[in-house]
Amino acid sequence: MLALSACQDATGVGLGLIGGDTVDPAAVVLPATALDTTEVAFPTAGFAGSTGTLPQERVLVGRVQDARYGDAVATAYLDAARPSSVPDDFDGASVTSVTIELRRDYTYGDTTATLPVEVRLVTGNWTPDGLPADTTLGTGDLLLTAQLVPSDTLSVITIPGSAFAGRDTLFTSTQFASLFEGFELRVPETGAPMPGAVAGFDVASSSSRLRVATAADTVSFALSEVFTRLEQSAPTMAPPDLLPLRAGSPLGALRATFDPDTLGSAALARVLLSVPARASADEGTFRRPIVSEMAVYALPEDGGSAFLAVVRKATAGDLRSASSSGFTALVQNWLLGQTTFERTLELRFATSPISLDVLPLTLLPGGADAAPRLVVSLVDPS
Amino acid sequence: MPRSALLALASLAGLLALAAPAAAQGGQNNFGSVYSRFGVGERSDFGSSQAEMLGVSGVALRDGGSTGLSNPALWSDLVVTGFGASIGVTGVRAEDASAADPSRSTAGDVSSLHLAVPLVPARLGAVVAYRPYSRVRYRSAIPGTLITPIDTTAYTANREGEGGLQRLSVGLGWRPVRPIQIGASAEVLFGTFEYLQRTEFEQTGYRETRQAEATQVRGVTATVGATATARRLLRTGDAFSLGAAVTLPTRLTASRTLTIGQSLDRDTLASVEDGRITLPLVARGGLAYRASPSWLVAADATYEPWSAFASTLTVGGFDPAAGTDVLQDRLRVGVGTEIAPAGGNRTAGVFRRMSYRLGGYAERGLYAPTGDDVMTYAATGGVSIPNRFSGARLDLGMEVGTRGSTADVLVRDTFVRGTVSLTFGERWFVRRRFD
Repeated sequence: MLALSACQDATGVGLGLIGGDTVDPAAVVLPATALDTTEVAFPTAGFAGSTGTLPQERVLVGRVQDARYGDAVATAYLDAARPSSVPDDFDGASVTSVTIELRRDYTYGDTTATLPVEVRLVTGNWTPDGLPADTTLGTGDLLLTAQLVPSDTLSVITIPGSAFAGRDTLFTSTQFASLFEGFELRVPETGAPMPGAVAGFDVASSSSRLRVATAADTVSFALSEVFTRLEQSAPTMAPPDLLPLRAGSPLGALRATFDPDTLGSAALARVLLSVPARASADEGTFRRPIVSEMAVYALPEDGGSAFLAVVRKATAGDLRSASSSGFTALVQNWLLGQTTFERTLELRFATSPISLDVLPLTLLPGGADAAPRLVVSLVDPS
Repeated sequence: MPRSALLALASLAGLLALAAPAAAQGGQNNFGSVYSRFGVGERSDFGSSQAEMLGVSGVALRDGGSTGLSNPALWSDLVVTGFGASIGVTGVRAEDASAADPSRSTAGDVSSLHLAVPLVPARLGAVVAYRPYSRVRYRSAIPGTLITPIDTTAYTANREGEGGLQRLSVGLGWRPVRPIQIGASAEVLFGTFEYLQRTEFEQTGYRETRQAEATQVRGVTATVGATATARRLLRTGDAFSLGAAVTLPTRLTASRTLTIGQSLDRDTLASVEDGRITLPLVARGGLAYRASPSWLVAADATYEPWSAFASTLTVGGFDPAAGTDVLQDRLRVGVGTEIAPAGGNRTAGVFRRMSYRLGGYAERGLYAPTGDDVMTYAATGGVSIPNRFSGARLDLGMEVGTRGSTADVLVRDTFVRGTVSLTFGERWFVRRRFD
């Protein structure tokens, strides 16, 4: 009996008796009816390589002029951790040099620009937790001005021991954690190339580190707390058909509002969010990386936000949600009027690794084709 | 509790466990005839396992070892307290005039559960019974391809029916004088039947959509019945019985909701719509002639005037707003015979003590979608196997038949049904004598 009860092979036999029409599923594109931007927190500080609380995989350094998306200045701060074991004669020894090694993985702006970088010691105590992106940390005197060459995949800044006169045991002290607050890497206000560039460095990579040399030993210090002070100004010459969204910019996050009422009381099988963007925002050697991943939040009517899903680059010029369950449930509840969430989705740039990625949305008159849209697969008997 | 009662309960639990997987598959994998779309579903008229195997309703079948549920007058024959359960599995192959390939489906069900208690043995008996009144279980599936701006996926659009009406009966049978029996039962009808549009998608990332129109009904009715028996009519030891029973027409209260979502996670689309559904009476009449303990013949007929069906809600084949009504009177005629080679000899071998049953029936369905009758013809049969416990029987039944035709939009079903029934009987409430 059990075997019999599992035998099913249904076909279209009997449809004429059942009557009515079999409703085929359909795909409906629901473009956003309104686009807006909103300011959101853009934390840039964190713990290098952390997989837990407040991870941050990148720091940015540079200065760029960009009339289309706005100028930007990035200053990096790098703290380091003394290894748990060091050679016996390392403690208390005088350093002969300290080398900052950073694996470069990002460029925004002129890809040919060599960036001058001033290196200073951070003097004030700081912690990444809750540190606003516009925070200025106190620093000491200039130690060195280095040049960051764009073709280097590993940027190396070697600071001679003489730069630490009077503090030549700072890096070999057992009290290093409390004495050292990090290096500041800053592009000088004058003398930098224009339009310039902002370089990004992968601080989660084991290649990024401090190398502290004494007469007898060289010891690697892993990067620990990192922070990028980020200043961005509004675009001055954005084309009228462009919504110049950039990570961490004053425009912040994108808000797209939808009107699902045209879907009636359909049963939704799948809802995907598709965000069409221009395939490229580059101009010659001036590079603007297109964002490849954004976080989508639903907005409760009583305030706040709730993470919904991630949209990732699916094809050139199209970000698309990889999973549909969250969108499907949300939009279905919109249709049923059984939700406390607004009919607006908020798209935020990733905060780790931080970047100056852009989302070049085209604003056409009645630009439904260019707007973020929900691609809805539904069955609607009505 | 007597030992046999415990055994009975354990066996019943086993039977239910066998039936449970099929029932638990719900609307996903438990389908039968598309004709169950009409009215409140495919009528189920279980009288007893003996009656099923004979192809009759059993309205006049007097058999102390089998509790006939189709006529409460028969319950006055009870001499032992009995439990009974019956389950069945039906396989249907359906074809029509369309280009669609034949469909195949199977469905398992619990045909009946009952407890019978002789208050005064062979004179006054009481029965509590559960049986389905109707079953809605059909499925028609159309494959297709959905093309979206992003990708393409295959899908299957299913039109399905699920559920049905259940019936809970409580009644008494009484024999006021030797040749006459009368009985009556009160019956509660309840249940939910659903019409669904269910769409399955092949590609991951899609969720199955399910839009259901669920109708919940409840109400009460009553059945009255009588039998008259004449003995030594043609030969010594024979008995000729006439029986009749009528289940009164009833008006059920109904409420309907439209929902979407999965079976355990549904959202109501439309507010509840209340209504009334009037079921017609059920009239049964028949005869049984037991020539000897070894031989029995029975014949009876069931009539249900579904042309009197009324509903304020649209059901399959009946739309009060559009004036659609394809329901018609249902008529079922059956005849069968039983041979028990050993008769009453309990010392005979097991094969001689078994009862062999054969019968058949013809039925005009309660629907005429094209105006023509939809006929069912079926042959029935089975064996009743005694076992070492007095009053305990295992019945194995089989039914093979066809329903409808491939004319116009009609469907021809070819069906096979297998049933397993267990009944246990034992004297309870025996007054002990002490010296």
